[in-house]
Amino acid sequence: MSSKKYKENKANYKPQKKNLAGKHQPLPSVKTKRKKRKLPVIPPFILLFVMVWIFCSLIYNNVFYIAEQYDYFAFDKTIMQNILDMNTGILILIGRFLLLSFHYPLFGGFVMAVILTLAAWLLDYGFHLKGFARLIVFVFPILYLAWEVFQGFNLYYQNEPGYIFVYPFVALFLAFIIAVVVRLKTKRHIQPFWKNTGEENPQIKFINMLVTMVVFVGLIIFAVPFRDNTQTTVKMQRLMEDNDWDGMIDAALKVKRPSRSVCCYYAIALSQTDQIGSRMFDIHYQYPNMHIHTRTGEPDATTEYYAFDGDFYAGLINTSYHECMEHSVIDGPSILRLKRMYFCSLLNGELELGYKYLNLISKMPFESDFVEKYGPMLYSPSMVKKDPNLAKVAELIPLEDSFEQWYRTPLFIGYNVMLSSGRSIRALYNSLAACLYNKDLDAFYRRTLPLRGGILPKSFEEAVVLYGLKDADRIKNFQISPMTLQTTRSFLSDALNYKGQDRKNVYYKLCSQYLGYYPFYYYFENIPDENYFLSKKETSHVN
Amino acid sequence: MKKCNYFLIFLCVIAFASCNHSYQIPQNATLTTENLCIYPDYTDIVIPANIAPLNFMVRNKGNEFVVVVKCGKKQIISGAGEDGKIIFDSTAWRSQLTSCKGKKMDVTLYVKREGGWIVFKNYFLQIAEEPVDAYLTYRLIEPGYELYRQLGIYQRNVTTFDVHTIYENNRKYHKDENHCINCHNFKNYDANTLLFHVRGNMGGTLIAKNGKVEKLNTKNDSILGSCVYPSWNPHHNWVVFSSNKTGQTFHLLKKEKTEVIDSGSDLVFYNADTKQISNILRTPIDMETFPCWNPAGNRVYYCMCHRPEFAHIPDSMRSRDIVLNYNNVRYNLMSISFDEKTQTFGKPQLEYDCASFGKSCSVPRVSPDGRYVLFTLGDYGQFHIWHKSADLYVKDLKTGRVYPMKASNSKDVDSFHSWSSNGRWFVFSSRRNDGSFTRPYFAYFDHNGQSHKAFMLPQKDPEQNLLLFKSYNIPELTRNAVTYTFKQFHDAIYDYEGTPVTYKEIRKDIK
Repeated sequence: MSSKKYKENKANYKPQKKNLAGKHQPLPSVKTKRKKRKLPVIPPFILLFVMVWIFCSLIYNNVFYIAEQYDYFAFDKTIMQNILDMNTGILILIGRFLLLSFHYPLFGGFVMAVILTLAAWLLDYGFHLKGFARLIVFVFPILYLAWEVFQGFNLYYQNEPGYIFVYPFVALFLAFIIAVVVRLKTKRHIQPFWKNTGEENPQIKFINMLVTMVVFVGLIIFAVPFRDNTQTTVKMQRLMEDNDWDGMIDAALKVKRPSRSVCCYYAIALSQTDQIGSRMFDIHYQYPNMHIHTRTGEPDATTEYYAFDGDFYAGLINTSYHECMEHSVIDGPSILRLKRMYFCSLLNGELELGYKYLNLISKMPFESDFVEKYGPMLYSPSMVKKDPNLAKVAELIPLEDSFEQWYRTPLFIGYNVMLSSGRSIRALYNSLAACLYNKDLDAFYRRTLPLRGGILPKSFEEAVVLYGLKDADRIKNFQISPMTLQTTRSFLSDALNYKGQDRKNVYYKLCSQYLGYYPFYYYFENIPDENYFLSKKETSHVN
Repeated sequence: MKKCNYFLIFLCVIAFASCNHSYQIPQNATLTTENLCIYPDYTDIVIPANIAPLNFMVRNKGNEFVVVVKCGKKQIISGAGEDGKIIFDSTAWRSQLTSCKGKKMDVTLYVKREGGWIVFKNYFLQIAEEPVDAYLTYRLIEPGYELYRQLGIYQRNVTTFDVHTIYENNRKYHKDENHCINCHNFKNYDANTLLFHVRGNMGGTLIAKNGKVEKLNTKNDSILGSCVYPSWNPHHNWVVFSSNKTGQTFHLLKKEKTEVIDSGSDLVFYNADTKQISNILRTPIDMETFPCWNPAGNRVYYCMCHRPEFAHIPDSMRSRDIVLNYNNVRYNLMSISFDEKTQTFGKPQLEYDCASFGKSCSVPRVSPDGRYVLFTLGDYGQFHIWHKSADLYVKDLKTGRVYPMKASNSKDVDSFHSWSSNGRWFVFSSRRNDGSFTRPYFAYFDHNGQSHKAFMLPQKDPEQNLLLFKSYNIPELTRNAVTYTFKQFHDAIYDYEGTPVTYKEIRKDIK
């Protein structure tokens, strides 16, 4: 410091008055006020960090995990070239790379929390907001998460999953630039984020903290009850990865109004546990609008979201492969679909093709478990037959070739009503379930004829009785329990009381008593309404 | 300052040394009886002297690999670490092949394992006297079904690894850009005159000639449908197209997952100078497709399916009829003469009646010397690129003999072929790699009309073909590179609706 400046500073210096103990004297205004109780305030950025981490790794973890499975990333230029060639390719690659962290949601949540908290902290410094205005930086990460929740499946389905991290990353980058510029211009010190910083009084700090927490609670409410179908679907997808079929069934039964995707995964679980004939109608079939949109902004019934899984577990291997390939054409490969295509290749005996997919899977970080578990099947096809789940799928593969187009347009993929011969009794049961789902009692009845004399699963028995109402001869040689006959009589009498009324209203009145009973589904569920539509496809005749 | 310079030179030397790993031929290696497994399979093949280095991956286990390519006293030594990727030095490779033209090169592979070095039995690379046309044009697209998004037509210099983008779309999804591009075709192996179609948004046929690119709207009420498979007359700006009503359906059980069917097709003649289009054959019960001019430009070879059932079936039901009988639909090889002066066609002539013995042919391509017709023969249908029974056959037009290209065929699909302008090489699409993703394969066609074992288009990174999630479609060879720019094609596609064509009747019987 120059001597001139030092003299100036010295002249302006006014020492603070000290008391005898050497401490600073309290300000007069404070002295006159009554001593306030100290409000508990958590350092805002610590609070923010913890909230984001909790949300990403514990509350919305399954969604982020599945988003990661919709991702594909490899440290190989050849594979990623199509992304790199895009204008924003580098950003997308960074996003995809960061998204890998959600393979372990605790870690992914941590990464997201670090990025969002750092961005908020730097913005706080850069904009130097005061008072309630600071809420903007505290709330913006939570609002970003709310936007992600608002997207539902569209967060990664028919959208680039890498954007989940691209936006926070860009925000962090911009915040960093702003902070650097501000720092260079003002020389203002940046406060450590772990401290309870800010110049406002404790009351404002406390209110800011409360508001931030309230917004966070709002986010949780939005993400849990208002996104139950999204959350349940992804949860079931994860359970399916672990072959936890019972867990899937339990998850589906908890949803008040299941979406098509939940119903599909529920049916897969029932099929894998041989319960399709007895428990299929235990959930409510009246699909809500999931508000999902295609890339071109048209409403989407989300069929493509689950169709490849539904087809696979229905033994329609080629159709599942077809679905996966179509999706890969539009969105590029995803690890989820590569795995499905690998299984399709294994079951089709296309080992070289399987090798290609396994090679691509092995290039993606964190997928070594899959490669170690299922890779050996490529070299030892007998292992496919020994795998209980793949063997169950193999039992359902059609016996004869035909064309996909000849199958009835699937309202509910996963069953094949066009099957006239099957490889196993399970194939027949699935076919019967498909007929019942489609309310096609004629086709159902024709297929049940070989089962006459035996004990039928609950729903099948109920359907036979329903079909026999018009002609008692139809149920002659079937074993029908008196209980089923009794239930049918009481259902008919109850339903007659509401004759002429809107079926949707009647549903709510009879639901508690008859949910799970087939005639109830037949008359009062799965009724096309304003939420019923099918997605359009952009297609060509031949590529 | 001086010290700094010395330090920089030292760093450069270190960097240079680390980049150029020199491999030594292992001494005392034990000869193994184990089968050598390399990807792609480049063992015992005939190659042109101007081909890019045949880099490959060794699939046998080993910690280190050394390969020696020897021809007389000259040799190239290369090697690889655990990944087994053998990458040859391009300069050494070129020099070696140039000096070994017409000779055999022996390739010896050494593998280091825990017990020491082992050596595999030699395989050979025969260098042909004749080069292959340097430029290979192809389309990259996923082996998909109905949907398309990002695809492009590219040109690869096969003497190097350089790739030039002719046209591609939709890197980042945009509805307007979502169009399909297909059926690229060149006039007489010359990249200065070419065409390809754009389907869907901004659709039309792009014709590039005399330095200009123009979009055509070839739809006309007088012809069956859109122009599809093209063939340029070698001497004039005339194109014969097939006009097809095409659909597809998907198998539930077969490994051949897609079935592409035609429910109607005719041949049309297009004069690119006058922009006039004409029906050559408009037959209700015959389906003609895949036209190809002979080098003299006085005959067109094509495939034809005779379907008398169509006489009793309404148009709307024909597609269903074909789907129901897809494995009984068969095409014969035909030809039709052309009078250049009057620009009229003669009467169809049967060239090969394969339907009579339960076979079906497609994609006839006449050799540049006009003696051979190379075509694909399969069990049924015409879109053999999805038929595992599809193999390459040749008809010797001098003797009339038809025989398979045994050495170059595989158990999987072999189809969509094109000749090199000297007639000594042909390139084709094959699914032999994995049954799904097509890759271009080259085969030598000798003076006796026999093909030799085919080899895959070499890549800088030999793993590329395993990793690439797209198929190579319609490989076409040309002598020179495409000089039209991406912008020229892009502007032509987006600028206007497309020049309409007018119809001109040239059929004598109609007049």
